[in-house]
Amino acid sequence: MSERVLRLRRRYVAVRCYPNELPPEQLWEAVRLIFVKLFGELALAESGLRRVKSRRHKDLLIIACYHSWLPKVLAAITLVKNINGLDVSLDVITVSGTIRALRRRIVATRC
Amino acid sequence: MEGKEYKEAAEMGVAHKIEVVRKRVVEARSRIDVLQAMRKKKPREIYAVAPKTREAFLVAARDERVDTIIIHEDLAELDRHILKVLKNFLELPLDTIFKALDDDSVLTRLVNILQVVAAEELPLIISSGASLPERTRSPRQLAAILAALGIEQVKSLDAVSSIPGQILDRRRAVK
Repeated sequence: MSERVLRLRRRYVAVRCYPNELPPEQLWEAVRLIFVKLFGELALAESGLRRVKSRRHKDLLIIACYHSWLPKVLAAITLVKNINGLDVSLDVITVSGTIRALRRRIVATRC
Repeated sequence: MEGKEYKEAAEMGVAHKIEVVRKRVVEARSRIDVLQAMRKKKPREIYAVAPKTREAFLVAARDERVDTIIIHEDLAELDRHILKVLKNFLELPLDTIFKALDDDSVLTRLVNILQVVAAEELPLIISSGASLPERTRSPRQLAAILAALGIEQVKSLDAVSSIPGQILDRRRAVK
C-alpha cells in the first residue's frame, strides 16, 4: 500500500463581497490576478490556491490554500478593490482547516 | 469626518458602548506647518501628520504632540538621523499600498521602509483610512497585508490591536 510522504495542511477561506452584486467566479478571478501580481505564477502553484465550488453557499467565494500561504492569500483577498469598474470590499467571513468545519462556521455566522 | 457626522457617530457609539475617537490628518510641507497644526490641537485629539518634506518629517518625528506619521509615496527615506529622533508611531494607510500596487517605484520604496521598520523594531500601525464602506477592511485582513510584506506575524497583529490601544491610552492620560 502506498503511503503519502508529505501531507500538507490546508486552509479554507470563505469570502463575501460587499456590495453583494458580483458572482463568485468574478471574485475568484480578481483574487487570482492580485495574487499572481504580488507573488508570481510559481507562488500560485506552490500555494495550492484554488477555488472550491459550493452548491449550498452560491453567494460566497470559498478558496483553498496550504496553511503556510494563508497570510499571503488573505493579503491578496484584502487588496482587491475594484472588479469591472465597481468598488468592492472582500470580507473574510471565516477560515477553517476542513470544508465541513467551514460550512458549519458559515452557518453559525449567518444565524 | 465633519462635525455633524462625528457627533452622530459618537452618539451611536455611546448607544453601543463604543468610544468613537476622531482623527485629524495634517499634510505638512515645512516645520511651520507641523508646529502650527500642533498649536491648534486639543489635548485629547488624535493627530496624524503626512510629512511631504524631510524637514517636516524630522519635526513630526520628534514632536510628542503628533500621534502618528503617515507613510505615503513621497515620504523621505528613514535614515539614521530620523531614526535617532523618532518618538512617534508610523502609520501605513491602505491607500499607500494600493498606490504601490499600481507603481513599482512606490512598492520598492514601501518595502524598503518596512524593512527598516522590521529591522529597527519601530512601532507601526496599519489603517484602512477609509471614509466609504467599500474601502474598509477588517483588522485581521489588514494585519495579513503586513505579514505578507515581511513583518513578523505577532508584530503585524500588534499593529491593529495593542499599538492603536497605546495611542488612545496616551491621549486619555493627557490632562
